[in-house]
Amino acid sequence: MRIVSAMLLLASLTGRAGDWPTFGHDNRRSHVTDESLTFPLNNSWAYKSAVLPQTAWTGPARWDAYAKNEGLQSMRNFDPAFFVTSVGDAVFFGSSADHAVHSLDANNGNENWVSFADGAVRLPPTWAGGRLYFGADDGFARCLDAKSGDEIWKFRPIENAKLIPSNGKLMSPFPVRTGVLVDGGSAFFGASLFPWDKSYLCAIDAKTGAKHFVNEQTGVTLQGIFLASTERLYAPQGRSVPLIFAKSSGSKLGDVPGTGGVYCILTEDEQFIAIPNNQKSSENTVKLASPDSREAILNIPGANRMIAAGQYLYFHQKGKLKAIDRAVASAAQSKMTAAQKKMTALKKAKAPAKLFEPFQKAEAAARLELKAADLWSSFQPVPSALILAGDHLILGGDGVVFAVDKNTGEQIWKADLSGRVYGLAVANGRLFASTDRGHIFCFSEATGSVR
Amino acid sequence: MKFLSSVLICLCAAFPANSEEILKWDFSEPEWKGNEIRDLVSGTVGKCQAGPVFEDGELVFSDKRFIDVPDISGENLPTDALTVSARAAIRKGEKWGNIVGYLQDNGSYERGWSLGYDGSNFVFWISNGGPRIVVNSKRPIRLDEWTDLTATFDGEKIRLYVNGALSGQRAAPGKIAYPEQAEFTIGAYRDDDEFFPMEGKLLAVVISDSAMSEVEIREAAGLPVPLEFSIRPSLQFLSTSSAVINWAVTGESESRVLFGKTEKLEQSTSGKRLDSGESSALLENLEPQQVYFYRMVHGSGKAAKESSVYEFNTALNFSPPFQSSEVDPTEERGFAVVLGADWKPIERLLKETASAIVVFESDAEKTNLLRKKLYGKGLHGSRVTVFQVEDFANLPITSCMADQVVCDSWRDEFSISEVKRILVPGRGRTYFFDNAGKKTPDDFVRPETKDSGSWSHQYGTAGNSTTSGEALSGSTSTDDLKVQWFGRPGADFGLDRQSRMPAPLAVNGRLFHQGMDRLVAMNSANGTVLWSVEIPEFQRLNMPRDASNWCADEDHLFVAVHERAWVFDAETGERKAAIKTTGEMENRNWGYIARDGDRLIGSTIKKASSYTGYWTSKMWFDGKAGSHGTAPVCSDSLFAYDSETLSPVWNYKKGVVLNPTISISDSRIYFVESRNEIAKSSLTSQISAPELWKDQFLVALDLKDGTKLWERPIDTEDGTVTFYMQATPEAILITASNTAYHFAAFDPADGKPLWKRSNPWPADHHSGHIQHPVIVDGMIYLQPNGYDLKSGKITTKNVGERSGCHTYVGARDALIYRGAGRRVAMWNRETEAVSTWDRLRPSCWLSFIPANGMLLVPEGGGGCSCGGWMETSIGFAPLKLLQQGGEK
Repeated sequence: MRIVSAMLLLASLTGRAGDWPTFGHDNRRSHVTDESLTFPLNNSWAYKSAVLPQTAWTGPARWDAYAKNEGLQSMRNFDPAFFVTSVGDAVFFGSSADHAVHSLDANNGNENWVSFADGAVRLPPTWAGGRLYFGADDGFARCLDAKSGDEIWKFRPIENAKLIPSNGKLMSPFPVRTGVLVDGGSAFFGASLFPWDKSYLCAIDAKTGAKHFVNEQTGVTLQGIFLASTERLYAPQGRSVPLIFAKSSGSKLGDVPGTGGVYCILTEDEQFIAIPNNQKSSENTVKLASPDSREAILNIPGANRMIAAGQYLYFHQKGKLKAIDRAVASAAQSKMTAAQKKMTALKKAKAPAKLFEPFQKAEAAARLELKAADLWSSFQPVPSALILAGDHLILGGDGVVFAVDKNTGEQIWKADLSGRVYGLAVANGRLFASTDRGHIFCFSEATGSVR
Repeated sequence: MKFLSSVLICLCAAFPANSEEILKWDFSEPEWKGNEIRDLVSGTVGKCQAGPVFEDGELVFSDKRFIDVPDISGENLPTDALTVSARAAIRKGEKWGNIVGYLQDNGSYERGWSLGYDGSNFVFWISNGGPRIVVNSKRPIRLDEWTDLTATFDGEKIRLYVNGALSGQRAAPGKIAYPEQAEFTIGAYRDDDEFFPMEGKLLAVVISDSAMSEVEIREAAGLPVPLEFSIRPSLQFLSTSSAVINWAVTGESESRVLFGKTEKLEQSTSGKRLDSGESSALLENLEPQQVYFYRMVHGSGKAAKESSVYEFNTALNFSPPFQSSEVDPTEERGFAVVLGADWKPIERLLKETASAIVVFESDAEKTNLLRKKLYGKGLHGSRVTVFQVEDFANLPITSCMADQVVCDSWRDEFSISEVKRILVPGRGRTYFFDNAGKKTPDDFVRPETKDSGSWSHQYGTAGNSTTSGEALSGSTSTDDLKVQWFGRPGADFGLDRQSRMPAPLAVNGRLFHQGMDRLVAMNSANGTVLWSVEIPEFQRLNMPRDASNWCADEDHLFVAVHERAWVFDAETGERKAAIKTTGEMENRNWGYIARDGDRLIGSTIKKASSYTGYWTSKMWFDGKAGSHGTAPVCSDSLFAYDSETLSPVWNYKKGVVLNPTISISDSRIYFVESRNEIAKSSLTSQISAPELWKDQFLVALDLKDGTKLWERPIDTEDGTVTFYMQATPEAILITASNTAYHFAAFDPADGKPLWKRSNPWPADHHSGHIQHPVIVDGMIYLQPNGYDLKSGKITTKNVGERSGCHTYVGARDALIYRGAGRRVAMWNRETEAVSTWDRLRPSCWLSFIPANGMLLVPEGGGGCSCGGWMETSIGFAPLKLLQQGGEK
C-alpha cells in the first residue's frame, strides 16, 4: 500500500493551517480540514450571480427504457456551482457564467478584483505561494497574482485551435476542465474533450509557466478535477474510468477499474473513492478501490457522498449518515469477497453442497464483522455536499446546510438557503456554501447583512 | 382514500347485483368462511388454501397466498367486452404480477387476460389470439398505497385507469382469446409454467361483460369530465423563468391552468382566449432545473372539464441565460460578431437581438475597458465575450459560424476575406452601423455551400432514398470532418435510444430534432437553439413500420399531432396553422406527412394506431416476423393540401396504404396498398393480419391533382418484418424483409417490373434484418452489397460492416453508419476504406444526417447506460469547407 505524505502534499499549497487553498481542500480532494468552527453560525454575506452556473453538460437521460433503469446518474456534473477556495481573508471562485475568476473579501463579500478569461471557468482556482492557478474553456491554464489578480503567465498546449460554438458560448476544442493541480513546483492540468481527437496532459513550471512536459493522449477525455498522490496523478473521465499518470513524466500508468464519475477522493493511503461507478443504477454505489491491486475494497450501495479521515469513513446511505471503521470494513469485505469467489468456483464445478459450508460460514462471519465496523448512524437529509471540519461533518442539500457531530452523528446546527448546495469549504472560521443557483453563502460567527 | 369507482362504491354499500356485473368479490374479513369466499353475483367459490391473513380486517397476500376460483373457465368469461376493477395496495413490484386474471403465458402461446403490475407500473393485457397486447400505466406504482384500478376492453382498444384517470391505452382489435385450460386466479401470476405470488393487499374485484366508458369511470371516481381538445396543448418557454401553454377546445368557457412542482398542482393561472379561438396561459416565476406538472381546466363546479396531467422540465428550457421576460422570444438568436470594441453596434445588438455577441478588439486597453463595462452591466460572458486579437485577418473562431458580423465603421485592419470566412454560408450577414443606419455590402456574403443537401423527410427526401444529395464537400473519411459545434440538446432531451424515433430533419440551415414529446429547432452551423416546443403525447415510434410524423421545407416545419398537422414558422417557432385531416374519413389521426412542390400531403390512420410504447426491450422493435411491433401502420386515405393556401386539393381512398411505402418522386406519389377486405376491415391501422399481403397494388398518382396515373397488381415477397419502398426517376424499389431481403424494382413510368432478387440478412438482430436501403447515384446499398439500381446487379460486396442498430445513411461520396466497435463510421464509396469516431453513440435507428453542408449528429443515444458515450449533440463540418474560407 502506497503511503502518501499528506503533509508533503499540503506543504506546497497551504499558506495557513486554516485555509482551503484548492478544490476539496487538498490535492487528494479529501474535503477534510482541521479547521474547527464554533456553532451556531450566521449568514454573514451572500454573493448572488444574476446568471445560473452554465454547466458543461446537460443532465443524464431520464432512463434506460430498454433495461428498465430509471434515475440514471450524471457522471460529468463537475461544475454545478461556483466552488470556492479561500486563503486568509480572501475567497476565490471561477464562473461559468461570466468567464472570470473573482476574489472577494471574506469578511463582507465585497469584490477585491475580477480577472477575465476568454471562456467559462468551471472549477475554482488553486492558491499556491501567493498565486492562483486555473483553467478555462478557452483552452488556457493561467497563473494570477492572488492579491491583485494580475496575470503572471498563461499556457495552452496547442496553438491556433479555433474556438467553436457550444451552448451559446465559444470554447476551445481542447478546454481545460480538470482544474490546475499544483504540486512540487509544477502546475498539472489536462486540455481535452473529444475522445476521437488528441488530448494533452500538461505539467508547467508553476513559477514561470515554462513547459515541463506536454503529453499527447488519444482515446481519452480528461474532465473533472485532477487528484494527486506523491507520485501519481489521477484524471477522471466522466463516463469512463479514471486514468492514472506518473507525475514525473506524464506517462500513463493505467486506470482505476470499476470506477467513474467526477466525485473522486484519494485516501491518505491512496485508496480511490469514486461516485457513481456507473450510470446504470438509480442507486449510487460508492466504490473504494485500490489502484494497485485494481480491485474493489468496499462497495457501499445506496450512498451518494463519502469522505475518509484517517481510519474512518463517513457517508450517507439510504436516509442515514454513517460512520464506519474503514480498516475493519475493508478486512471484512475482503474476507467476504474471498468466500464468495470460492463459492462461485464451486458452483461452476457443480461441487456437492457440503463443500460450500465452510465458505458460507466464512461469508456469514465476514458479514458480522462488516456490521461491527459501524460506529454510528443517524437519519439526515440526503446531501449533495459533504466535508469534515475539525469535529464536525458539514452537509449541504436541497435548500439546507447543516452540521453534525462527527463522533455521534447528532445534528447540531442547520441553516436554510435557496438552491441545492454542491460546494462546501471551511477556512479561517468561515463556512462557504455554493449552490446551483449561482449563490455563495458565507457563514461565520459574525453577524452581517446579507448582500 | 380519494377515488372510488362506482362498482367499488357499491361494494362498500349493499353490493346490489348489476346486470352487467358477472363476478364481484368483497375480500374484507367478515366475508370469509374459513378458507373460502363467495362472489356476490353468482356465488362462485374461491379458495385460499393457505388460509387468508388480515391486517385490520383487510386481506393480505403474503407467503405465496393466492385465491383459486376453480369453477371459472374461459367459457364463463366475456370475449367481446370486459371491465375489470380492483382496489389493491401493492407491497412489492414483480416482473410478473397479477391481481386478477385467467391466463396462459407460455412462450409464444399467450391467451386470456390479466390485470396486474410489473416492477414499476400497473399492467393490463389481453390476448386476441396473437401475442399479448399490453398496456402499462403511465403512473408508477406507489407501494402500499390503496389504488383503484379499472381496465376495459371494448373490441377495439384496451385502456387502463388509475384512480379514475386514464393512464394508458392501446389498440386491441378483435375478441379475447382464452386458453383451453387455465386457473382463474386472484393474487398470483399463475399458469402452467409460472407462479409469481402477489405481495400486498386487496379489498375488492369486480368483473363486468361490458366496457365502461371513460366518462363513467371518471364520474364514478369523482373526477370532472375529461377535456377534449380541438387543438392539443403545447408549451413554449418564453424566458429563463416563464412559459406559455396554448390549446383549443370547442365552445367558449373560462379556462385556467393548474400547475406545480407536484401532481397536487398547487398553483393556478387564468387562461386567455385569443382571437384565433385558442386558449393561452402564461406560467411565470418558474424555477430552474425543475419538473412541473400541469393540466387545463374549463368551466367550474360540476360543469368543469379537465385534461390529463402533463409535465415539463425547466432543465429543457433552452432560452438564452440572459434573456429577460421583456425580450421577445422570437427575436433573432445566434452568434453576432462585432469588429472593434465600439459600444454602438453592441448596444444595438443587445436591444434588437437575443444573440450571443462576440467582440474582437486589437487594443488591450479598449478590450479591458469594454470587459469591465459589460461586467458592470452583468453582461460579460453570458451575453457578450470580448477577445483581444493581434490580427483581424486571423480571428480565433471557427469558420462558417457567425450569423452576423457588424462594426461601427470599417477599419483598415479589418479583413473582408476573414469576415467571409466566419459567416454562416448563405445565412450570415454583415452590417455596418454608421450615421445612415445599417447597410449590407454585397461583397460581404458567404455563398451557400456547394452541393449541400436537405434532409426534409424521414429518409432524406420524400422519395425515401436515405440520402439528401449532400456532398459534405467531398468528405469520405471521419478525418475529413471537424467538430464545428457541440452541446445541447443532451441526453435529458430524449426518450431513449431504442425506440426507433423519427429522424432529425435539416433544411435551409436549420436542424430539427425530436426528443421525448418535444422538439427543437437549431441553427445547423453553430448549434444555436432557435426555438423548442413541448407537445404532450405526440410521440411516434417504430419508424421501420410507419411513416414519420414530420417534414420540413425551406420556411416551415410540419408536424403531425394526433388529428392535425401543425405548421410552424421554421425560424421563430410560431405556429402558423393547425390543419385537420381532410376527406371523408372521420375520427382519424394524421398519419403520413410530406411536402413536395406546392403540396402538403397527408394520410389518415385510425386513432391510437401509432406505436408509442417505449418501455422495456420489446419497444426496441427489433423482432422478427410475428413479434411485437412488426405490424405495419397503414393509412385508409391519402390527401393533399395546397401548401400556400392550406386548402384541401385532393383525396384518395381505396385500400389500406402501407405507410413505409409512400414515396414521392418527379411530382408523383407512389405507394403500395392492399385492397383485401379483411385487411381493410381492421379496427386498427396497425395491421398484423396476413391478408395485408394479399390483393396488393402498386399505385402512382399525380401529386398535383391526385389523378391516378397507373396502378399495377403486385405480389412481392411479404414484408412481415419490414416493407419499404423508395422512388427515384430511374426505378421504384420495394424491399421486403421476412427471412431475407427481397428487392423488387419497377418502372416509374408504368409500374412494369424491372428486376428482382433476394439476399440473406447479414444478421437477424440489431437491425441486421430491417435495414433501410440507401440509394445514391443510381446505386443501392444494403449491407453487405451495393447494387446497380437499374439492373439489380451486385457492384460491390464490401459495404462497411454494420455493428449496431442505426441504419445506413448516404452522403454523395460515403456511407455513414454504426460500425466496428459500435463506433460511428464512414465508408468511402470509392476506396471502400472505413474510418470511425470513438464513443459517439447514435440512436437505434436514424439520428445522424448529412445535410446543410454538414454531418449533423443531434443527441440520440442517451439512455444507453453502458459505455462512455458523449451524450451530446454535435455538428461536424468538412475541413475542406472550413479551409475554403482560409481557416488557418
